Amino acid sequence: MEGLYFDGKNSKPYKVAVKDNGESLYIESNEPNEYINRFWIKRDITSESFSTGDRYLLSYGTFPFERIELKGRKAEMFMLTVLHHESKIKTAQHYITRANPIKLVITSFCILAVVIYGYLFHISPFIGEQSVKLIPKSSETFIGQNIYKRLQLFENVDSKKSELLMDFYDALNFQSEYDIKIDYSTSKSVNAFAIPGGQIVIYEGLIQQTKCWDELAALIGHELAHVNERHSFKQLARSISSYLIFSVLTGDVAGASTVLLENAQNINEMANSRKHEKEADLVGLEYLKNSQIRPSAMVDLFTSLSKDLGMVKKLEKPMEFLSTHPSTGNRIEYIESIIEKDRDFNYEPKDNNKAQEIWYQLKSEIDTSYSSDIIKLLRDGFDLEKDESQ
Amino acid sequence: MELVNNPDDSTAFTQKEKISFSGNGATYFGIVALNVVLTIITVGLYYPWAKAAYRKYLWNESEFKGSRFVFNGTGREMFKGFLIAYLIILGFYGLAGAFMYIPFGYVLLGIAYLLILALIPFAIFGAWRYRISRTSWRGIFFSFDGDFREFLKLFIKGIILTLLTLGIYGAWMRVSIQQYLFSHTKIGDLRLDFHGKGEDLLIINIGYTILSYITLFILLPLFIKKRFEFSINNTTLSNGMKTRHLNSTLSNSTAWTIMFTNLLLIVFTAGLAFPWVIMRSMKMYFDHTEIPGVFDYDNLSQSPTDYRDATGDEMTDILDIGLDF
Repeated sequence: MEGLYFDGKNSKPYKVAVKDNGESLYIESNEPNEYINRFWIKRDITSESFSTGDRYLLSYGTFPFERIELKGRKAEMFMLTVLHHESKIKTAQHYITRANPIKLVITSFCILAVVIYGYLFHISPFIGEQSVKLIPKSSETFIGQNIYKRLQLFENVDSKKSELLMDFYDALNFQSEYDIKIDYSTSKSVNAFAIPGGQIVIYEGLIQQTKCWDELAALIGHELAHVNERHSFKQLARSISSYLIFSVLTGDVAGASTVLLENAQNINEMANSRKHEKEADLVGLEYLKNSQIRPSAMVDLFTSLSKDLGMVKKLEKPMEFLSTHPSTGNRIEYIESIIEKDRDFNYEPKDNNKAQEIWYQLKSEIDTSYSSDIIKLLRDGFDLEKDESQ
Repeated sequence: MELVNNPDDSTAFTQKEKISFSGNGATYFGIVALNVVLTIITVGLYYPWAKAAYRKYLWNESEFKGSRFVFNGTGREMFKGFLIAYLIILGFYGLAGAFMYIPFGYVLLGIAYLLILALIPFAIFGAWRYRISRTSWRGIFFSFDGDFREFLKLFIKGIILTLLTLGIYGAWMRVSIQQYLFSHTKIGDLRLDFHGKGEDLLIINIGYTILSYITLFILLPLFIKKRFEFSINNTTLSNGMKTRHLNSTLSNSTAWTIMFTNLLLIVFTAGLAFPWVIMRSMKMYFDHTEIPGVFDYDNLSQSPTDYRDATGDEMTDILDIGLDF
């Protein structure tokens, strides 16, 4: 086998003949006046076969290494005798450099698609969920409070109404291992959110949309479920575990791939949070059941929200997969079907006068149509009922 | 150094050499796929080995005078570098975090962040040194004989002047860094050097930024081409007796056509064509770089050092610093 030999001291190429000698290679110069006469023990040879076509490089010894470059078809056959201790990964790389380009691209694409899909939608969420279990509740509350401190700058919290909301929550008798604190924001946007560790914020705009006290109870149930099920943290942990792989994958690869992977990540996050929203609806329903509150209040809540948000609903429909919340219509349907199918929800809802009273009080301050007269009338109505029962 | 034009080698003076690049998008895509799978299976631990595989491929596909370049770095040494770099950075952040809880901690916090900033020159210096020292051709290792203290002084001076001049000195700083790194880089006994001037770079940067904006980035490739030209045409090779410039032959139309088609490739494949884009770009740069043929490339002698510390190299990855000379 012909090759080029480099002695490691100089870049001068020497034409040599390389012979397989069983345990070793024998290297000998072909040219007159050049005395190259080397024995290389095979197990001390490292090879680079990771190059297009039929190019090989053999290295021998320690720094500065002796090297031999081999070329041509014969080299491939010759290398088989030398490369017997090649690792599996090297063999795979070797295969890649020699594969049919079209087959290679198709195979690589399929493997990539399957592996990235599996990682993003199965492995990464699993790691996320499991790692959350390791975080103690106290540090969750601590982090949550820090997040809230920053957010609070932009929120207009009404402390008096917040106290009313707290009274309302206490009256519902929901259970939580967290120290729950509910704040009333005077913002008119229709919104509510839960922060890890027990802080819930409800916007005036949303309370305004509720038509009955138990709709507000359903809303709190939903947000409380986010807190108790640690959804924010699960989301965060998933993002981190996904992000890790992205940073790793895109580390040495062009920025272009980042675009693709980040989009995949966004879709993944949306899909996950949709799952969490659905879970919060279902767990919220359980809370309603435990406190013997009318379960269809959950349905009413979303109906109330969707009626006044007709435009939003229209926009939401075709975007269902991409939006973080399941579309309202879809939500109403599945909650209704659960209430119908599950016999556990077939109970007689109890009245909760205290909660009802607080709700009226909150509503009357937002909405003038709930004037004090009506409240008085309604209150009297309850009293009458009570009187009758007595 | 002055350009010496010796009449004796007038024929050799005009002789030009090129690096031919034969990288192939499909193969690179296959390597990416294998690396991704192995990285995921090992929960990211394979990353340094993946990096070694990319570099080995790119180096091996570059051929000069019939011999391929070799990246001698290994996943194992990069993994070691990665661990050290990570511990250092984590340590600094931990320190910064701890300072938040003590009185007057904010002053110390500032200092801790300055220390993190000080890692940047360390990372650039180390990364350059590592990449250069692990590259070989015909068994001859490239080498770097820079001194970190000198480099740090240069860097600090650059940062201060850049801040004082509201960024204008940035062009000079970049040139001085490139000058320092290049002038301490040797290929056997050939020394690299850089003669670019800050004012030229500043004019390119300002002129082409304005041009790119008014043409809605249509002429952005011309800016990239100009920067490439600035880098290549100001680089020299010297054997102590003769000094010769490298030369870029990249034309505006070629640069624009290749970069524009690259953009189309990325857009229409949602980024999946990135291996082809990398290969096309590398080929474009190598094909249009003329290397002086006057030197005796068959008689380069080995550099004396064997350097394997990848800490700085990994740090550039963690801190996300690009070395784009």
